[in-house]
Order: sequence, then structure tokens, then C-alpha cells
Amino acid sequence: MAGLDPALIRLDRRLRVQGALRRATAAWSVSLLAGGSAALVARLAGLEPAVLPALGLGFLAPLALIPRWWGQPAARAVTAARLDLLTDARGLVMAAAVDDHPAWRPAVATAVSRAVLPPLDLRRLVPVLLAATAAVAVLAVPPPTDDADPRHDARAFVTPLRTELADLAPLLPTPEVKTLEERLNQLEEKAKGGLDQQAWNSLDRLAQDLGTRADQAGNGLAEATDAAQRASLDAAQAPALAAALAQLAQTAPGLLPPTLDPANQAALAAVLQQAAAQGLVTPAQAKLLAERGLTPAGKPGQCNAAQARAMARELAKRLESRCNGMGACRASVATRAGLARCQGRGRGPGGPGHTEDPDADTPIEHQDRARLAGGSAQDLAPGARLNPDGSVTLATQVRTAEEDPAARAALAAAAQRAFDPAAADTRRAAVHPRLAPAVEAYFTPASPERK
Amino acid sequence: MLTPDALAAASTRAQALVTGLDGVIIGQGDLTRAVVTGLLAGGHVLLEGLPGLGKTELVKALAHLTGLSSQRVQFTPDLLPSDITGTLVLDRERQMTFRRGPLFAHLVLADEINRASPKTQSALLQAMAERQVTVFDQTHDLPRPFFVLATQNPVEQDGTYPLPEAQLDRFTLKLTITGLATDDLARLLTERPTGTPPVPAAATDPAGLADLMTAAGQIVVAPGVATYIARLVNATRPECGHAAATASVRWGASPRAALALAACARAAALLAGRPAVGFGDVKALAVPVIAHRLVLSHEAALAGTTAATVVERLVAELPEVA
Repeated sequence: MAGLDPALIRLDRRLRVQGALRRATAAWSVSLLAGGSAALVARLAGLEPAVLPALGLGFLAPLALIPRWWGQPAARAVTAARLDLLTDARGLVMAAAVDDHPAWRPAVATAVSRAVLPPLDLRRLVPVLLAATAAVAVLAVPPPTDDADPRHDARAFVTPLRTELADLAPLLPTPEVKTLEERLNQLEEKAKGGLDQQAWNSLDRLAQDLGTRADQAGNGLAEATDAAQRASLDAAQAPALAAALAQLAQTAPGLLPPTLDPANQAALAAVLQQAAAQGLVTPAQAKLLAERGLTPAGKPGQCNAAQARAMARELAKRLESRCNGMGACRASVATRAGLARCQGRGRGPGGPGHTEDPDADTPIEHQDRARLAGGSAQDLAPGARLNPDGSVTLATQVRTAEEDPAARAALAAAAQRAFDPAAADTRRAAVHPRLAPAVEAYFTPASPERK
Repeated sequence: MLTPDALAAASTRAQALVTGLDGVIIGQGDLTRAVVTGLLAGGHVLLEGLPGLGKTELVKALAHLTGLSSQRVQFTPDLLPSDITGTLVLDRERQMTFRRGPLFAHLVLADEINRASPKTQSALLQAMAERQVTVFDQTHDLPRPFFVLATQNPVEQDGTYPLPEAQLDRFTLKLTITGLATDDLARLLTERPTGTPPVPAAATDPAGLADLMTAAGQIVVAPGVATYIARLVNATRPECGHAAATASVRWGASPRAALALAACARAAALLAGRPAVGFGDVKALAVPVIAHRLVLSHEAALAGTTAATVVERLVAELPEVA
């Protein structure tokens, strides 16, 4: 029909445009927002080359779906039905689409002329425009600056070590100081390009070594001071003083007193000879003390008890002044802790934790029966429980069943046996006592009947 | 498709039937139009309403208007199938001859059909569906057109046998007669002081009625409308998943309902003088054609939901074009 067919085509085209617009606007909004988000993430992550492709993908991806949205023309009957509804023809247009009767053409033409195509809802474009604006606005976001992270600046970590080494340098032997400085310089050189894992490990090891050496120096000074104080009271402790001085000369020669009275130097030389005879001092250590000028050149003479105590008093006085003049370095902290330990605080003599047991600092293992057998149940506080095997439970750790996989598995198996419908027969099964041995034998793997 | 002239002539004659009925039955315009629609569609109509609303006069008037024979059967519990179909009797020549029952008429008014036993209702079932009756292995054709107008009283349910679903499905339309409005009742009292209705003049003859029914069959049901009818009928089936039917319907409408709806829509379009069925025709006839064929669930019945509300909801929610 001349008038009906163009109207059907126009209506079908308009309806397809409406459908495509509806789908396209929704897809474009989502695509643009996704592309904009991806571009924003790329820009903030410093992946600048990926910004424009992400935006372009957001703009162009829905284009690939347009042919699908456009789709195929609707069936003629369907379009005729829609046109009939639009024109309020009450079936006439639908009938004319099926049966083109010439007598009805004027009426159909009149009805079709009333047709007003449904308008396109352009308000659907608003979300697309908003999404496009948001996506384009991503380009205005500045990329992150290339400033280095201050946390990764090697100087922030190397400088404290250098300060610590500077504090330690006067105390330690010169070759060792040079070695540490060389390690520190190498680390600093390596860390200029950033701290990799290897550099971090080197940094940690160097810091640990510096701390250990500071502790050794401080402890050596504290032990030498304590030994001098003891020897000033008891001349028999003089060899121990010599041994402590020799150890200090080896580990931290910078902490030795610069000089002694000549009489005391002679006494110290005699004491060193006695200690060497006892195996407490090595010749190399004695030589170090001589090089520091604490012992006179030549063959040492004899030393009585009074001379030894006088020598020890002077040494104690000079070492104490050394302790007090160390400042706030780590070695000073170790020195104070060592003195406290040696002089009765902590585990030192006279302190509350003092013990003569040489293995006091060794952890007790449960297999070490000899060390565990020292106590008695009689010494326990009232109310303490004694186990049947004679042991005493000092502490217990409560573990809930849910945290133990084995207990949980056992609970699950028990629940399955108790409540599983499939195990109903098993629960109901009752074996007569007379038949129990036969049943047990049958279910025993090694049972000959089963074989 | 009918030509405009043929359509106008047929529509005028059909409209004359409605006008003639309106002259007898005052204030029931929708009812008379629906009855003529059912008649032109070749179906049967079930009327539900209280006594005294003019059902018998409606059949008589329809017979006068169309020149068709009519019979009225008052259904009672002791009514036997042979009382309506007829039976063999021994005549004076001592021969067994078939004496026709009241079903052998063009228009049959089955008054208070739900008071008859299921056995008698089943006899009527064959007559309505096949337009023939079988007595003692002999099948007798009923006159054409054959139109059953049955009534049932919705109030007095004691001692009744509710029509089974198969019987209800045979009725093309189920109409509800309501009481007259005050103005119509006053007009009835004024125009008919004795209560005797006027006898309408014949608007057509049986052959003319057959032509009208043929013309109704030529009204076009376009594919779009046919699809809508199919979707509407299928939507009444709970297994098809429409929310209204799933929640309330136990058994939906049958394909016979779709055929009846299309036939009635054709007749309605003819009455309106249109060459094709529109969506409006289908919507207007959906409740009287489909509602009585639905079997609601017990929950829906207890909740007060009626089949008519279910169909109305489906009509409202189902778009004309999918």
C-alpha cells in the first residue's frame, strides 16, 4: 500500500533509533566512566603512555556494538500493531498491512496521516555528556612529580652510622676503624642510586657490627673498672685485673688510661707476668699494654701485695674517670650497664639476681634432668598441685577445639556418625554379646575369615 | 476483508438486533450488546443474576427479532437428560419414534442450570459442544444456529450442582446481570404499567442471521491482535510465569478460550462497524470470555481475589505489542 508501507518503514526506523539510543547512552556512560577511571589510575601511577589509550577506548569501545544495537527490522505485523496503536485505528491499519483491500485505502490513508512518530528522548544524552566531561577532565589532573621519596634517601640512614663510627673510632683499634670506615664508604657509594635489598642488608649488618663493638668496648671498660676496684681491696685479684686490662687493650685500646705512675707501671708489669704465667694474658696482649706505655720497658720486677693494691687503686681511679667522661654514646650505655651488673645491681655480686652458677644464663631445656632436679615440691607455695609423676605444672596453654584441626576433624566425624541420616543403620545396629567376637573378627583386617 | 458497503449493511442489521433488545430489556445496554455478540460469535452465554431481571424476556425478544424458535427449560434436581434431549416413545402404530426435547430449538433458555444433576448437565454439554444429541445410539442434529442462554442464581447455593470446569469452558461468555438503575426502573414502571414487554418486530430472519454470522467470521484478526490474544490467554496459565496468574490461578484458560475471544472480538468489531479487530475489542471482552474459565487457588479464593480481577490485572499489565 502506497501510504502504509512508508509509514511502517518510518515508524520501524524511529523505533530502532530509539532502542539504539537507549542502549547506546547507557553503554557509553558506563564505558566513558570506566575509561576515565582507568586513565586517572594510569596517570596517578605514572603510566603516562596508557592514559590516552584508556580514554580512547572509553570513547570508541561502544562503537563496535552499534550494528548490534541497530539490529534487524521488526516484523511487519509488529510494526503495524504499533502504528495501529499510534493512530488509534482500532485494527484497521493492522488489517490493511495483511490484506490490502482497495476499498479501505482511503480510510487507511486517513488513519496513517494522523500518525505522529514517537519523539526521540534526547535527555538520555545528558549522562553521556557528563561522563564524557568527567573523562576529559582526567587530562587536567597533573601527573605525579618525580621527587624521590625521602624515605629512600640513603643519607638518612648512613649518617647515623657515620656518627656512631665517629664516636667509636677513638676507642677501637685503628685497623678495625679503617675497615669499618671502608665498609661505610662503600655502602654510601652504593646507596646513591637508591637502596636495594642488598644495600639494606649491608646497612643492617654494619649497624649491627657497630652496636656489637660499642657493647664490647663498654663491657670491657666496665669489667676492667670492676676488676681494678676489687684488686684495690684484695691483691689476689690483681691477675684478674691484668687479664681485664689486656682484654680491654685488645678490644678498645682507646679506653685504656694514658699513663701510670712509674711505681705502678712496674707493679702492673709484675702482675702481668703473674697473669701470663697463669695463662690469663697472652704475650700479644702484654705487648699491646706496653705499646700504650702502661708497663715499663725491660724485665719486670717483683710486686708485693701493697704495691699491687696501690697500682689497682690508681687504675680504678683513672678507669672510673674514663667511664664518667664517655658522654652519651652507645659504649657509655654499655659501660654503665656493665658496671651495674658487676657491682651488685642486676646479677652482679650482692645483687638480688646474683648467682654463682656458671650456667645461670643458659636456658633450661626439659631434657636437662640434672638442672631440673634442683627444686622440691616442699618449696612450692600452698595450694600448688603436684602431678602424679612428681612434676609440677607451672603453666598451661588452653587451646579450644575449634583451633585444633585434629580436634575439629574428630568433632566433625563424631557429628556425622551421630546425625548423618545415612548412618542411621549404623546407629541402630546392636550386636548381641554372643556374636560380638565373630563380628569383631570379621572386621579385623588380619582376620583369616575375611581372607 | 469485507467491503465497506457490506460491512455497513451487516453492522446495521446487527445493530438492529441490539436496538430491538434494548427496546424490550430496559437499562441493560451492555448485556444486550454482549448477548448479541455471543450470538454472532456462534457461542453460548451463561448469565448470572438474581431472578426477575428479564432473562426469559431476553430470549423471547431475541427469538422475535431473529425469527428463531425458542424453548425455555427450568432446570431442577429431578430433571433427566431425556427430559431435555427427548426420548423414544411408542406411537399409535406401535413403532418406537423419537420425540424431540426442548433442546431442539434455535434459542434455548436453560434457567438455573446449576440446579440440575451432573448427568443432565452432561447431556447439555454434548449439545452445546457438538450441536447434536445422542439418544439410544441415534445421533440427532440440532437446528442451526443453536444458541444456549443459561442462567444461574449466585445466591441460593443449597441443593445446587456447581458447573464443572469442562461445562463452564463451553460457554463463550459469562455475563453478570445487575439490577436496574433508579431512572431505568422508573422508566420501566412508566412505560409498562402492566409489566408486559412489547413484542419487537423482526430485525432479520434465520438466513439473515446466518449471513451476519458469516460476515462476523470475515472480520480480520490481524497477526498482531492474534499474538496479543495468545499472549493474554497464555498469561493466565501459572506455568507461564506472569505474576498475577502465578499468585492466584491454579488452572489457566484453554485454547478454546482464545478461539472464543477472537470470535467474540470479531462480532464486537462487526457491531461497531469496523473491518478488523482492534486491541480494544479484545480488552473489553477479556473478562466475560476468560474469567469464568480460570480456577483460582485456595489461597487466592480465601484472600477474596476473583477471576475477574486477575484478568483485569493481566489486561492492564500486558503490553499490546511485545
